[in-house]
Amino acid sequence: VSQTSVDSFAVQVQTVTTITAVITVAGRLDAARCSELRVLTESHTQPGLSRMSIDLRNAQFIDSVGLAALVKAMRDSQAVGATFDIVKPSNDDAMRIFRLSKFDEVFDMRDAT
Amino acid sequence: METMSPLLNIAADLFAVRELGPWLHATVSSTVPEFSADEIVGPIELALHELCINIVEHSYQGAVGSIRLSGARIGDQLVFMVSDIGSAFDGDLGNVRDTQEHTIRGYGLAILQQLASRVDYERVDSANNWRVAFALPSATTSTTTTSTSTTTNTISTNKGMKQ
Repeated sequence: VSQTSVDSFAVQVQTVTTITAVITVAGRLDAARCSELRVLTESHTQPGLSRMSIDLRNAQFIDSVGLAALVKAMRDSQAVGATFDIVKPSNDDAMRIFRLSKFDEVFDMRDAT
Repeated sequence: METMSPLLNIAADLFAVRELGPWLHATVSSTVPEFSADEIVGPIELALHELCINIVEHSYQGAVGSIRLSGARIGDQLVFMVSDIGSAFDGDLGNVRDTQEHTIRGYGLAILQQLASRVDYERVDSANNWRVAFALPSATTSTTTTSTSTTTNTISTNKGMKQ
């Protein structure tokens, strides 16, 4: 398990096996910090991965650069044959960018259980 | 202008842009106290955040600089002025990326335009001046697109504040 946490932002690999990676994001996923998510997702999109899931339930704010990092993670996952899904942010401010960009219709998004 | 907000002067870097949120809460609370800042700041913050990120990445391109913001209530709108002295904006506000085109980057200004009632850009001497208006929640009045000079780039849409 690797974790980075500065101010209110945290990216953590919650579960990783040879076939599944679940990454949680808390706080602000914005231009200032999204490179950390990008590094983590790139490091886990290896051949043999079957599923990547990004848990955004505790994300407070997401901008277009953060959205771009998620799109890249989805494309990288698909490139190695893995599925990609997102747990929806519970915060409406964090969900807004998905609605405005229509990416809520592109990503496989589900509610937190 | 009915009520001016305090100015916000931030460094042109990605972390400094985070100062927008607290400043917007204070600005909304002081300029339109009849509205709950928690209810209306969200879309405004995202819109101005995207504009400031665009300024950091494209106007200053990593160079040292600053971004100056002010806000005021004008009638049934909240109007923000955003200024920098970086390179001139060379895009076309009337032709930013269609947000239905699912590519990775380039959404910032499209998001700004979706959230704002009206966005105007003008280059004056060495300064970039953006004027971004948001209709207050109860206001759904229409505005008319105008382009007043070759140095002014304007886009206008007819809508109230979008959530």
